[in-house]
Amino acid sequence: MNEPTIVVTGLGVISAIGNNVSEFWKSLESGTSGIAPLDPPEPDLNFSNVAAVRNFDPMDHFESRQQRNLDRSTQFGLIAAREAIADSGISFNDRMASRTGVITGCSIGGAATQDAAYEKLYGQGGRRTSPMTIPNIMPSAGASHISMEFGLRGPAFTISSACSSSSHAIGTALSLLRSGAIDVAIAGGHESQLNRGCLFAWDALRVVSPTICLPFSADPPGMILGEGGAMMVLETLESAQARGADIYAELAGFGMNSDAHHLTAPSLEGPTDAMRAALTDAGLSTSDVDYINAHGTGTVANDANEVRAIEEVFGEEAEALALSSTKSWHGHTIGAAGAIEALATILAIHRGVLPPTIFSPPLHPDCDLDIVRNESRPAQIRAALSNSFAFGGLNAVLAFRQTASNR
Amino acid sequence: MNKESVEERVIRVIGDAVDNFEVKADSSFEEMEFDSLDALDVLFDVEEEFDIKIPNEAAKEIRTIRDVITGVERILAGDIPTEASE
Repeated sequence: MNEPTIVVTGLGVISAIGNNVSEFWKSLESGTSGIAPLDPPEPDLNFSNVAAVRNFDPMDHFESRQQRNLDRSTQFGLIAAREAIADSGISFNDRMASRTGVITGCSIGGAATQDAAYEKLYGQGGRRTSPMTIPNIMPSAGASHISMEFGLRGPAFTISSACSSSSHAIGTALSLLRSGAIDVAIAGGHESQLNRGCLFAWDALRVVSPTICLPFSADPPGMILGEGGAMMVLETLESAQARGADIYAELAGFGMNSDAHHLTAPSLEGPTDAMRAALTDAGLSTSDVDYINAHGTGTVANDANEVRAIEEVFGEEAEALALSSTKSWHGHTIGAAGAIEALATILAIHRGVLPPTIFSPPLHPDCDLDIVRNESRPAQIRAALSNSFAFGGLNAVLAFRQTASNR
Repeated sequence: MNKESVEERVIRVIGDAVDNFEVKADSSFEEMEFDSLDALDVLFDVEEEFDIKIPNEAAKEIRTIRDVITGVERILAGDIPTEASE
């Protein structure tokens, strides 16, 4: 039996560079950074900039009662899902609702809720914490709230694999759709980690940039912490055509593996094999790929290794493809990163524009690839990869392909 | 300034937690469309307001705003042992 072709028919996002798809893409296309000073400042940190969601009032999206039951992270997931579902134009009848899955990625869970609850207990000597603490902390709260709000009764669960969480979620949704276990998936991720506890925990790793994020530069200052959410509607090509839906791109393949190597340092073999697995799964050859949205954290540990892995996989074809890390604009959103960057990749294919990387010379001496620097450029993108290589060596690579409607 | 009564405080605190419903002393959780989690959530707010502990056994029996007011008054008067039932 032939496996069905799976396509993307709806997108939703909230991030430091835009609170919806149109703002997000406008920022990427024009090269507008979402990085700004932490507000309020934390003088004891070694860094002062973050990529926070701005101009955001939860009360614009939720009634006060509902908002009490939603951590900031979950709010981002639900807002992105609402936009993606509206964008897809899908309506869920009873049968469709029972055949729709919600697969989300979230690494840390309701960190703001946890931080506030523990501050009250430990910091202020509190005697009790809200009964909503546990329901708001659980990383799967987003999947639950999305399924409840839209009455979606297929499988709903959350994958936690640090910075690869939402790439794993989208890849798992692809498997479930291909197998026929579900007909439609709401897939993506959400994360919010800019609370005091998380900021200091990240600071201790000495990987956060004191300035901005400069992936692929010779002396990268480090990563920038971000937050946000991104969701997509995935369905079979047949289903999308039957309802006359607009198609952004095909989710063509997925490759995943683990380094079995180190908690924070990546191996060369893991990312290399994961990209190869995604290409094989998608039925793509190296010459078909025009763009890679890199994991590109802007750290010494990741970037040079990722470039080497790409050269290893693509050989001479590597010179022909364009590479960028959109993390330099929207920050590293951890559990949401794979989904936000998948959205950037899908929009790049759909709009025929390569999103740039913030770049300041000199280029890393080991990097000979075509980095899209500071300014977007038009390009026909036949196929693209979105890389996620998480702490602990958990690798997840998504492959997207242009569909007939893009050409 | 008039001192706010227990009843007024309960109504204010629970009123702050609900949308589109005017909470009165004779309102029931049912008409406020409260499920068990909603009830837990507002009882927490009441515990915070009065700095009391509502025992689990007592919490289970609460169905109306009047139940809350009466319960709080009894706890404040020392009629309901709170620490021992934890």
